[in-house]
Amino acid sequence: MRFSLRHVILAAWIALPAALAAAQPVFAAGGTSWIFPNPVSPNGERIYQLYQWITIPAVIVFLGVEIGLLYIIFRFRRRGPDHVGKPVHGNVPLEIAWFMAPTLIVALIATLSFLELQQDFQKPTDAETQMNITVTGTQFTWFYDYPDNGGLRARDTMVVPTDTFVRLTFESTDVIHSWWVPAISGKTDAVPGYQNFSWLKISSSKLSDCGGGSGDHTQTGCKWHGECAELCGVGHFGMQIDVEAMPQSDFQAWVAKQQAASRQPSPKASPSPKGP
Amino acid sequence: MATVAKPAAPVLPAEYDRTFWSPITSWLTTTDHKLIAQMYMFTGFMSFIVAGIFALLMRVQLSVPNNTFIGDHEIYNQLMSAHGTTMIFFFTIPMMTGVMNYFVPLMVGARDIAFPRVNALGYWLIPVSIFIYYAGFFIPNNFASGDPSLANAGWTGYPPLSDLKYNGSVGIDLWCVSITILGLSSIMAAVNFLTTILALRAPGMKLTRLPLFVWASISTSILLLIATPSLAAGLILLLIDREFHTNFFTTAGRPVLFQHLFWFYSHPAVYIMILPGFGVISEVIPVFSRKAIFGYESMVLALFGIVFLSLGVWAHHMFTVGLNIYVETLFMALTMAIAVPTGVKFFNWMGTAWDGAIEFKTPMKFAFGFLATFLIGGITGIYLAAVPVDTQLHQSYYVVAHLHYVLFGGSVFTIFAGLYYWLPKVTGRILNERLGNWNFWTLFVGFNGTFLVMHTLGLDGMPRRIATYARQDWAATNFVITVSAFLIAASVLIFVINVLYSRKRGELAGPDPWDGNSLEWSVSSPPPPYNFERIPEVHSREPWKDMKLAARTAPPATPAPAPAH
Ligand code: HEM
Ligand SMILES: [Cu+2]
Ligand SMILES: [Cu+2]
Repeated sequence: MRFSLRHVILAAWIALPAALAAAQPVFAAGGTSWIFPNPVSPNGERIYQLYQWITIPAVIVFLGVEIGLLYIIFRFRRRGPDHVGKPVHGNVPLEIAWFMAPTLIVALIATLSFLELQQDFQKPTDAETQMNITVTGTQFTWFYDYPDNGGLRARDTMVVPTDTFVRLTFESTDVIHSWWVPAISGKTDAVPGYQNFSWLKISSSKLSDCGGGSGDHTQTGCKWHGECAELCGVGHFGMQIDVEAMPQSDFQAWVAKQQAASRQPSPKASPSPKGP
Repeated sequence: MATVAKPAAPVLPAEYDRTFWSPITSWLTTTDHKLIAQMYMFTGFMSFIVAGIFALLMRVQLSVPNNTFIGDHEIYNQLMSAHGTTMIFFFTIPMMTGVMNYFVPLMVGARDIAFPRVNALGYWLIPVSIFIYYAGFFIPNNFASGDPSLANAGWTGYPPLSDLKYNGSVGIDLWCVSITILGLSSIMAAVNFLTTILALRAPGMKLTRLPLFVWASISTSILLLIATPSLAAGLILLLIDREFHTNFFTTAGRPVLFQHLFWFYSHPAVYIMILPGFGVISEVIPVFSRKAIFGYESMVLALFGIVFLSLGVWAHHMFTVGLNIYVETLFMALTMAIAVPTGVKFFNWMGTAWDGAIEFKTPMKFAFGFLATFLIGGITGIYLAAVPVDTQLHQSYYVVAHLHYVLFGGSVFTIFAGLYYWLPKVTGRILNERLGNWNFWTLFVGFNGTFLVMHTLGLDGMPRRIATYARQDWAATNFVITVSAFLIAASVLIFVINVLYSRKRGELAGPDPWDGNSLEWSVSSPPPPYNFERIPEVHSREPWKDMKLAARTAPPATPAPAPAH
C-alpha cells in the first residue's frame, strides 16, 4: 500500500481522542480543556461526574464507528471493472441488534441524568437553605441582593461565605439573561416575569488551591469567573460575573463594611449616583 | 456505462437551447422543475457565499482577545444574526429544495412536478424574502446611529430582546416578514413534492420501490407541513407586538412562549435540512459500493421514526429557562431516542459499504466525510440532551461547535456529495476529480480544525454570541479556529473554480456516468424538458439497473426506452 498525506490524515483522525487526552496538560496550560473547569460546588461536581459517565460510551461509540469506517475504506476497494459488492440486502437480526444497542445506551444515560436532575435541579427548600441571594440581570450588569443581610445590594461580584448552602433566585428587569459560572454549576436564565432557582455551596477546603486552579486567589478567599450566556443586546459580552467565596468571619466583615459604606456614601460617589 | 456509448458532443436538446441560453425572460417565466431547481440551487449557493463571508468577518474579530476589527458590537450582532439566518433559511433550505425539485420527478418517473406554477411561485418568494431581510442593510438605524438596520437578535430572535421596547431596529420587523414568506414558500414546495410522489409515479413504481432519496423528500415535506405554521405564528405575533403594541411576548406577556413556538418549528427544521442529505447519502453509497442498500425497510422506518420524534423534542433548547424537571425529563428522553433511528441509518450505511466494491470518487469521499463528522455531532447531541450537562453547555461555544457538526457535517457535506454526484446530470459534464479531491480534503481538515477545538472553548466557559472576549488563555484556540475557517473558504473557492472549469471543459458525462440504478440516469444529461420520452415501467427498486441488465443479456428487439436522444 502506498502511503500518502491522505493516510496520515485518516490515521490522525482515529488517533484524535488519544492525542487529545495525551495533550491535555498542554491544552490545560493553554486554558482549553475537554471538560469543565474543576467544580467547587456539589451540584457542579455531580454534573462533572455525569459528564464523565457519558464520556465512556461516547468514546467507545466514536472509536468503534470511526475504526469501522476506516476498515471499510481500506478493505473493500473495488478491484476491477467486474468486481461488484456482495448481493446482500439486509440482515434482520443485525438490524435489530443495532436498534437495541443505542436504545440501551441512551436509556442508561437518560436514567443517570434524571437522577441528577431530581437531586440538584429543584427549587431548594427553606429547610436546607442557609442563606438567600437574589440575582438580578439588567442590561448590562448583575446585581446581587442579600435579604438575609439587611437588604444589602452588591454589584458585579457576588460574595458568599464558605460551607453555606446559598439559594440563588434569578430575576430580570428587562430582557432574558443567563447566569453562568462553569466552575460552580450549570447556567440558569434570568427571565422577566418569573423567578428561577439554583444553589451553591462552596466548601472551605476548596480555598487552599481555589478548586484545583479553576479560580483565582483573592485576599481572603477565591474568585471564580463567568459570563452572561444569553444574548441580551450590544453589551452582552461585557456582562461578566465574579463569585468570591471567603470564610464566614471574613464574609461578616465584608457585609459590615458594605453596610457602612451604604449608610455613609463616600463624597466621591454621591454627586453622580450611577443608575442601574 | 458498458451499454451506453458516450455521445461525441454534449447532449443539449434543441428544445432546451432556447430556455438555457436565451434571454433572462425564459428563466423568469419557466415552470420547468429542472430550471426552477437550478435557480433554487444558485440562490442557495450565493447565500452560502455571503453568509460564509460574514462568518469570516466574525472569525477575524474573534481571532484575538479584545479585538477592535469590528469595534461596533451592534455590527457584530447583525453579522452573527445574518450569518445564522442566511445559512439556514437562504442557503440550506433552498439548496435542499432545489436538489429535491430537480431529482424527485426524475426519480419517480414523472414529466414535471405536480403543480408547476406553484413551484415557480414558491421559488420566486425566496428572492423576495431575501430582499426583505437585507433591505435592513440600506435603512439607517435609528437606535445606533450610523449603523445599518439588519436584525440583531440572533437567528432565534427571542423576545423581549426583539420586542419594540428593547429593540427599535426595523431589522426585526423585516426579519419577521421575510421568514414568514420563506415559510410560505417551503409549504408550497412540500405540497408539491408530496403530490408529485403520491400521484405522478411511473407505472410499477410502488411506494416500496421508491428510491430512499424520495422517501427522504416525503419525510422532509411532512415535517415542513406540520412545523412551519408554528414558526409563522410566532413571527406574526411578534410582529403584531411590535407594530400594534399587543403583549403576547413582551415582559408583560409571556416571552418564553415565543421560544416554544420558535423551536416547535426550528428543531424539526434541523431535520428538514438533514433528511434530504440522508437521502443523498442513501443514493451515493450503494452506487459507489456496487451494492444494494442495506436494510431498505428499516431505512424508511428510521426516517419516519425521526419525523415522529423530532416533533416532540423542541424544549431541549429551553432546559435553562426553568421548566418543570419532569417535563424536562420527557424532552430529554425523546431527544435521546432520536439517536436510535439515526444510529440505525448510520449502521445501515456502513452495512451497505461493507463487502462492497468501493470506488472513492468525489461524491463517495464526501459521503464518508459526512459519516465521519456527523457522528461527532450525534455524540455531542447526547451530552446536550442530558439536562444537567446541558445546563453547562447550553449557549456556549460547545453548542456552536455541535450545531456546525450537525449542519455543516450533515448538510454541507451531503450537499457537496449530492452536487458532485448529480451536477453531471444537470450540466452534462463531470466535475473534475483532481479539484474535487482538493475540495474534499481542504474542507475536511478546515472544517474539523474550525469546529472540533471549538468544543473546548465552550467547556471552559466562552458563551456564544459575544462580540469579543478578554481571556488571554482563549487566544491560541481562537486563532487556530480563525485560520482553519480560511481553509474552509479556500475549499469553497476550489469548488467554485471546479464548477466553472467543468462547465466548459469537464469530461462529458453521458446519461449514466456512475453506472447508477435509478431512473434519472436513464435519460440524457441534461434531461429533455419533458424528462422521459416514454414513461418507463418499473419492476424493482433499481429500475435503471434492470433495464441495463435486460439490454445486456437479451439485445432488445425494440429500442430501449432510454437514452431518449
Ligand atoms: C463557512 C464556515 C462557517 C464558519 C467559519 C462559521 C462560523 C460561525 C461562528 C463563529 C458562529 C458563532 C457566532 C457567535 O455565536 O458569535 C456561527 C454561528 C452560526 N452558524 Fe456558522 N459558520 C460556518 C458555516 C455555517 C453553516 C454551513 C451553517 C448552516 C448550515 C451555519 C449555521 C450557523 C448558525 C445557525 C449559527 C448560530 C447563529 C446565532 O447564534 O444566531 N454556519 N457560525
Ligand atoms: Cu447577555
Ligand atoms: Cu433541537
